[in-house]
Amino acid sequence: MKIRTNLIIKILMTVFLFLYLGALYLSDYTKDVSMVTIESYMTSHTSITSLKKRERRDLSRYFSIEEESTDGYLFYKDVSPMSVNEILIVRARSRNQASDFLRAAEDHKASQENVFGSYGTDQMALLGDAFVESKGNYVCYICGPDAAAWHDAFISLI
Amino acid sequence: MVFSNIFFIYCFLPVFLLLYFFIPGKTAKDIILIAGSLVFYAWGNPIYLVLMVFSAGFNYYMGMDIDDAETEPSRKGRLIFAVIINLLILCFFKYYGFLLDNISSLTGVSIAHPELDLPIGISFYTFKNLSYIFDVYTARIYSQRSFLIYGVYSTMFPHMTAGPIVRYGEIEDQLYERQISIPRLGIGAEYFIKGLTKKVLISDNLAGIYEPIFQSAGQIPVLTAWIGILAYTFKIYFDFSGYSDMAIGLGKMLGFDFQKNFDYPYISGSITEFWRRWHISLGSWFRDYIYIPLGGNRVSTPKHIRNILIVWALTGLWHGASWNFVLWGVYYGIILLIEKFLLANFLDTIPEICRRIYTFLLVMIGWVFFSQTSFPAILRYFGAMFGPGARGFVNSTTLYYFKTAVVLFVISFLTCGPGLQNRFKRLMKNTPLIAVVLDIILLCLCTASLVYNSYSPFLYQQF
Repeated sequence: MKIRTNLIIKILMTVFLFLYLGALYLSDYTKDVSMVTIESYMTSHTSITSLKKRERRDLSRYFSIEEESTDGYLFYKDVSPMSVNEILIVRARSRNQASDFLRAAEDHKASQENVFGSYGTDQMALLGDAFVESKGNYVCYICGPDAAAWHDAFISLI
Repeated sequence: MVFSNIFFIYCFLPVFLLLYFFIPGKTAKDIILIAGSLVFYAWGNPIYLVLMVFSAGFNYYMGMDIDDAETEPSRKGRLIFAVIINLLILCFFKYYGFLLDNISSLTGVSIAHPELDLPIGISFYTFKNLSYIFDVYTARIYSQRSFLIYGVYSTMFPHMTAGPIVRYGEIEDQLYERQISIPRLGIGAEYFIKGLTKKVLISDNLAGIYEPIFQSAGQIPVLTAWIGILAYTFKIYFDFSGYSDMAIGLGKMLGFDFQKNFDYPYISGSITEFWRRWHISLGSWFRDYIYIPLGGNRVSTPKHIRNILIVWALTGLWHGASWNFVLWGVYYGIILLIEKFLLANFLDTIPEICRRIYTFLLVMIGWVFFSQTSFPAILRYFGAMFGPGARGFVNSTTLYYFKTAVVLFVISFLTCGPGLQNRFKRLMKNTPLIAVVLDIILLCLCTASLVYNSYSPFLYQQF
């Protein structure tokens, strides 16, 4: 009787573990969408083109991310230095790299908060609502009045 | 949550300690400790709290299950089941992506897979729970029948996220009865501030030196490459030993005595000695649960060599799911073999200072494997250090880095040995008031630095 109870407990624990791991696996699953497809979709279905498209030098300047180390990126930023409106979606080559990129995005947000903390009430409100997250190998930093819509569009793609 | 965080130091810790100290009764204190540990762990990513609690519950149950088995085959079967489930969890989060990536590279077939975040401290708590299971199986300890007590051991926040890997047997007595007092709180606070100083004032500032050097590794002169790796060498020591000091200090505040995890490794006279002083709890884990069961050194020479290489490849792999870590482990395995079979007598004949320089240089070279995450990056950095890939020997940027780093290097050099710390201990004994003032000044400096700087996690937390 005791042996049977032990066996049932072990089976239940194993089943629970597999269900939990399976749920985690599925929740973080991302489709393999190229950055070209993401950029094409984001530029035609959202208002990100109100910002200026940025190149490798800006990626390195604002996020300390080198273009060569990525698997593609999309970076749009307002031309005004007083604006915090920007969107960066970068695809990493590995999970470790995605963690590094996420840290870079968090650092960028912290530095923006340092800059605008003492006088930019509107900017601080937008930074407070900014999205800084990673899903699979993708990392995004999205800030601006339309951040939620841009974020939803991006998430629906992957 | 990390220890070097304003919220942790000035909100979480004081509230937690007040509750822990003033709630009467050991059971109530145990409940507070478990609850505080769960809040601490869940702060960043609550989804993985389930995993940590499952791991504690599973190993608690399996400990009793192994103990209750009546025959040896049955005990062995239960041990194997417990080990498989623990390793399954570790491999799922840490090595699964690495394995699929390698299969993809070998076969040319692209296998898409999600990249899950690594649960914080998973390697540490899995190894801690495994040590408990092994110790129950080998009858070094009796299994714990109270989930509350096992829960305290398994989830305790001071050593949860980055070690030391505390064995159940080391703190078993304190799990039943521990001394909680104001003098111990003071000693614990002093350890904590010492660790915080290492992390915030030394380690975090060293990062500003090596990071830009590593990023431009293909275009730097020889001397800059050496400055970069020297900064990393000190950084990783102060980062990890700082965390361990904070963990030990928090343990003392709560009434626990954890073994030291670092014993001034950079003053070692050989790599063998270095590994007796660096990350002591991990080294002893691999010695007791892998190396000795494989036969240790009581086997033929080829098997002894095999055992050492297996242990060091696994030690490397434990640090990360990447070939550079395996290479780093094998590098140490090979040096240890050379020291054991070829250099043992020779090293004893040369002056102490030469032995220390020899060890320090080899350790610095080892950190290149550790810090550069791909083969091309490793080769590029070695190229810069030894000439073939360097842009000359020295340039104006080198002098800038040198001027920026020299004070930190001097402080690092002075504080990585026992001299300065022994002086502080004497000061603490002779004129405690001055020592307390010094601690308060250091805490204020750390606080100022934490307020100014952004989030900086511990390097070893990612393992």
